[in-house]
Amino acid sequence: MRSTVSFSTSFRQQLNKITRTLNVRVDECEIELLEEILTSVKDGHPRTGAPGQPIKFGTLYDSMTIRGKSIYSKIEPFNYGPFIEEGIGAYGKKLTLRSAVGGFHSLKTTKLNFRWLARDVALRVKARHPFNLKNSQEL
Amino acid sequence: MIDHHAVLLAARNRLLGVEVCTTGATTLTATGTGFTRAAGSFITDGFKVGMEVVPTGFADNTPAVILSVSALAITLRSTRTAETAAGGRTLTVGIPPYRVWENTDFEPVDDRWFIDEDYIPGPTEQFTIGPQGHLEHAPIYVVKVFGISGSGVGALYDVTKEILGVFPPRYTMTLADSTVVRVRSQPAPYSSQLMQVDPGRAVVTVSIPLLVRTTNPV
Repeated sequence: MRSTVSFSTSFRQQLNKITRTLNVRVDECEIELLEEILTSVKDGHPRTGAPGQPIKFGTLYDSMTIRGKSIYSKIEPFNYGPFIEEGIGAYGKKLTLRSAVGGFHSLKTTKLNFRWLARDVALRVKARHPFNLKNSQEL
Repeated sequence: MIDHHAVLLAARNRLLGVEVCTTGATTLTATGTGFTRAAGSFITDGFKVGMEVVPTGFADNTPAVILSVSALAITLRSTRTAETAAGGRTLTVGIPPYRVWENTDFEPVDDRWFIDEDYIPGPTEQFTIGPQGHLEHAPIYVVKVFGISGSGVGALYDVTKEILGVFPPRYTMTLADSTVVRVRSQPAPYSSQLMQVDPGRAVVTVSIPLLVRTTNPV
């Protein structure tokens, strides 16, 4: 009959390993998801349908960065980012797209179709960090 | 496959059913600067400063923007021809008469509301297995409501609230080919922060995420 002491120790070690693996997955998911969101907003993404930012001088495009756990953008002296996002021009007229790349509503489509980005990232990270409980040396 | 034109028309048709507030058919008088009534209350009916009111039953039914409102009187930002009291008249606030549909030209008119629609087809993904697996599409219907700046938030917020009200989460619209268009619940429709647009306008954007499932025509 197996010793109950060795069984409980092995089980605790397995739980610890699962916890470590999960923590690694969460950390990598956070980082990769932020990068995917930034890509979707700036360059467009087939999974969200976002067209990316139109580019004239690149001021708005270059202003978008990751800061901590947020996407950040600030333009001085006048933040025209919201108007590019909604496609609103002077007098409220539709903004004409004069850029060869990008379009409008990238932030909106990224936000509303975020779940596909999240699922792709989760599957990738999960594949990189599977639970491997068979090798006792790793415990 | 999804017929984006049909989806757009279905959403647009739904939008046109929005009614924000109305007097109903009643006795109204047109003064040189607005409208008055002897019974009932414009305030109770829901009229607010900044709203664009559409009159019917008058000789002059030109829409105009409200400057001030009390229970028995509405003062407009523009003048109009005075008309004596008569029954069967209405004042209504709904989707503005000026509508900028996709790929149509429009010059904004001073002191007049308008809406501007955008339709984003969105991504498509197969979500059931096999060659004939079903496809899931995620278009977004966007309505930008342009009001008058400097008139507070009540008017714009009331109009956008009613637009959201006709697109509640899980609401379905059935197209002629039996395709079902569903308003998403996660995330659900939402409106944006009010933004000032030069000159003289304020805008709130309403975003309505939709979900459509079709068969794969392969």
